[in-house]
Amino acid sequence: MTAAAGFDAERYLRLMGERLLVSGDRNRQRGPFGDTRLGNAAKALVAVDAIDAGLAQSVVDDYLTAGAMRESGGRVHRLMRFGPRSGPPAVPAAPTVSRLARCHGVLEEPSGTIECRYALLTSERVEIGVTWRAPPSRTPRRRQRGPHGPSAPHGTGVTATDDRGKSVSCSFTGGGSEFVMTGRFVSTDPLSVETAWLELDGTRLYLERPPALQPVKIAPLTNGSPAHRYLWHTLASGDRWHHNVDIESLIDVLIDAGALTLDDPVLDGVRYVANGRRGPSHPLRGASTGPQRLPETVPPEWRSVLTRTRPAGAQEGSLIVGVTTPEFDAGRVTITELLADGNGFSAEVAIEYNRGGNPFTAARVDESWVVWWAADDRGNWFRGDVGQWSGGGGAGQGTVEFHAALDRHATELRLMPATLRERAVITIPLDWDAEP
Amino acid sequence: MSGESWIGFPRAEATVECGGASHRVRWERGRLLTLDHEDPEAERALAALGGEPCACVALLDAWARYTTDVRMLVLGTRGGSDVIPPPDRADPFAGVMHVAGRPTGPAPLPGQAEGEAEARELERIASLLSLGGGLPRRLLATVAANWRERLLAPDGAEDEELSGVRARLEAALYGRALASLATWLEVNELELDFEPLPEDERPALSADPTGRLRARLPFGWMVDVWGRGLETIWGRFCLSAATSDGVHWELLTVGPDLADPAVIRVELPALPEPPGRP
Repeated sequence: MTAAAGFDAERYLRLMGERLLVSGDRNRQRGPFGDTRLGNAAKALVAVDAIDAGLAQSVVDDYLTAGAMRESGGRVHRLMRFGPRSGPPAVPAAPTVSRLARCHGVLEEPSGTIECRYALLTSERVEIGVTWRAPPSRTPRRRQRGPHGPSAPHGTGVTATDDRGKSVSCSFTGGGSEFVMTGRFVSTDPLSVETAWLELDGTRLYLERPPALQPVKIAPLTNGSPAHRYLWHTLASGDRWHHNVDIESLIDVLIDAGALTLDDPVLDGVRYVANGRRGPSHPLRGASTGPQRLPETVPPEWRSVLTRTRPAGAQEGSLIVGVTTPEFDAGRVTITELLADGNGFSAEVAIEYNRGGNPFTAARVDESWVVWWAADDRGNWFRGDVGQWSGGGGAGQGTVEFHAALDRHATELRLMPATLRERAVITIPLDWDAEP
Repeated sequence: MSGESWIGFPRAEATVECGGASHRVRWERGRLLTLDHEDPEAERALAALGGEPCACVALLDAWARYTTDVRMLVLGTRGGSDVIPPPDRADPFAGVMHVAGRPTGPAPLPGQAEGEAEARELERIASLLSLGGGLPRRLLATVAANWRERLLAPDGAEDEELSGVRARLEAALYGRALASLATWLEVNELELDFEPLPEDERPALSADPTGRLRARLPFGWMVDVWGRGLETIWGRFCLSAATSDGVHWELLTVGPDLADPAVIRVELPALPEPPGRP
C-alpha cells in the first residue's frame, strides 16, 4: 500500500513543521546526525511515494533554517542548511579493490607483536590489515590506561617496501584496547599493485591470492508494502548512539498518509521489535507490560535475532574477503575482511555512496540509507551496527559490528548491506585464515 | 498593494546603524521610509560612483527585494515571543545595493560562491526579520498581501508560481493561527484542524466533542488580523477585522467558550502625525 490518492504530503509536512516550530520542539527532535522528527516524517513519506525526495528535502530545509534562525544570532555557519548538499562527494572516494592479498607475518617489536593479515594495493594507496598485541609481560594489573587511552601500535607507523624497491611510510588507523588493537597501516603513496611481497620494517611478507567468491547478487526488496519495508528498515538502523527513532511517530505519519491502517497486523510485530530494542523501561503505545508472545508478523530475520541463543561453539578467526559489489541503490560496497572473536564478528567495509550518506542514518531525505544484515547457513540472522568509521558525505570506511557469536559449525555467511529498495548479497565461504 | 489597502495598519519604526550613527526607518501606509536620508536615490547614485554604500538605503533595497518572497513567511515570526535574533554581522545589508564597477575579488572555488551567497542572503533575511519596532510583521503582512492579490486575481487558477507555493502560504497561515490560538488559550501544544477558506467566506472557530479545535480562516486573515496585531481583543480571538477609514472598526470575534461569534465595534481616534519626514 502506498499513500492514499489526494494526500498532500507537502502540505502535511509543512503543517508538521509549523507545529514543531510553534511548540519550540525544533531542537529536541534533532538526532545526532541532523535528522529531525520532520526529516524522519519526510523520509517515511518519500518511502511510500507520497512525495518526491527533492521537494521533501526542501520542506525539511525550510524548517531547519527557520529553527536555526531563531537560535543562531545570525551566525553564517549555523544558518547554513544542515547536512551535505547534493553534489560531489565531500571526501575522496573510498578505496576499491585493485588487489587484495593475504600476507601472513608477525613483526616482533618491543611494544608488542604486529600480526599482518592482508594487504590492499590500489593505484592511490596501500593498506595493510594488522592486529597488534601487547607483550605477554604486560599484565592487566600492572598496566594502566594512560590519560589519552591506548596509543597506536608501533609508535606512529611502519615503513613498507615493495619488490620494485619503493618504500613508503604507513600510519596506523584503528582501535581496540590497551592489550589488543585491530586496524590498518595506511599510506596514500601507493606501492606496486603487482608486487610479489612487501617488507614491513624489514620483515618480508609474501602476498597470496585470496579464495575466489561467488558473484555478488543484487536483489530488489519487494516483500511487504513500502510502509512495512520502511518501518523494518528504520528498526534495523544502527543504535550506536542510542539514537532510536520514535517509531510511533512514523506509524502515525504513515497512517495519516493512508499507507497503513490502524489495524494493520504488521504493526504488532513492529511494536514488538521496537519495544525489544528500546528495553522494557520504554514501553510503546499498544504494548502490554508483561511477557509477550512473538507476533506472527515478525519477519524471519528479526525472529532469529530476538530468539537466538549463544552457539555451543563460537567461531574465532579472520578471513580476507576482498569483494566490491556492483553499483546498486546504496552505491558500491567493498568488504575487505571478516573478523570473529567469540562474542561476535565484524566486517571491514568501505562505501562509495551514490547519493551521499553517512553510515548511521540518512540525515538528508535523499541520501543513501544503508542497514546491515548477515545470515549464516545454519539459519541464524545478525543485525549489524557501524563501529569505527571515517569519511562522510560521498564515501566512508570502517567497521560493521555484529553483536552475536558466529557458530563455528557455520560454513557460509551472507553479508547483506541494504537500502529501502535493494540489497547486495555477498556470499562468503567461512574458510578461516587465522586467529584475529 | 495600494496605500488605501494599508488603512488601519499602525506605523512602525526602528533604528539602524548607518555610517556610525543611529538612523530611523519608518513603515507607513505600505512604504518604508529612511527618515535621516532626504534623497535615497542620490545616495544610490553616490554609491555607484564609488561613495560609501549607505546602510539605510541598502535596507530599503533589501526590503523591496523580499516583499514578494514567500520564504519570508516560512522564516519570519509567528508572533508573540517568537523573535528572530539579529545577525552578528555589522553590515548585513552589504551587497544589496547594486553598485556597478566595484572589484569583486578573487574568483571563488567551485561551490564556494553559491554557499557564501546563500549564507549572505540568509543573514540579510535574518536582519530584515529582526529589525524590531514592528517592522518584521509589517514586512510579512506585505508579503502576504502581495500573495493574496494573486490568490484573488481572476487568472489565479492559471498562475503556476502560485500553485507552487500554495502549501507554503497555507502553512504560513496555519502556523500563525496556531501560535495565536496557543497564546490566547495559554497552552503550549494545541491540536488544531485547519481549513483554508476562500476570501469571501465567513471564518469560524469551533471545537469537536473531544475539545480539538477547528479553524476555518481565509489567507487574508494573515494580512487583516495578524498583520495588524489584532489576533485577540478583550480576551476574544479575532476572526476578521474590517475598517474603511482606520477609525471605525468591525471585529468578528469568538470567546474562549467558542460560542457564537460576536462583532465588536470600536472607534480609534485619528492619531497625530509623528515627528520626522512624512
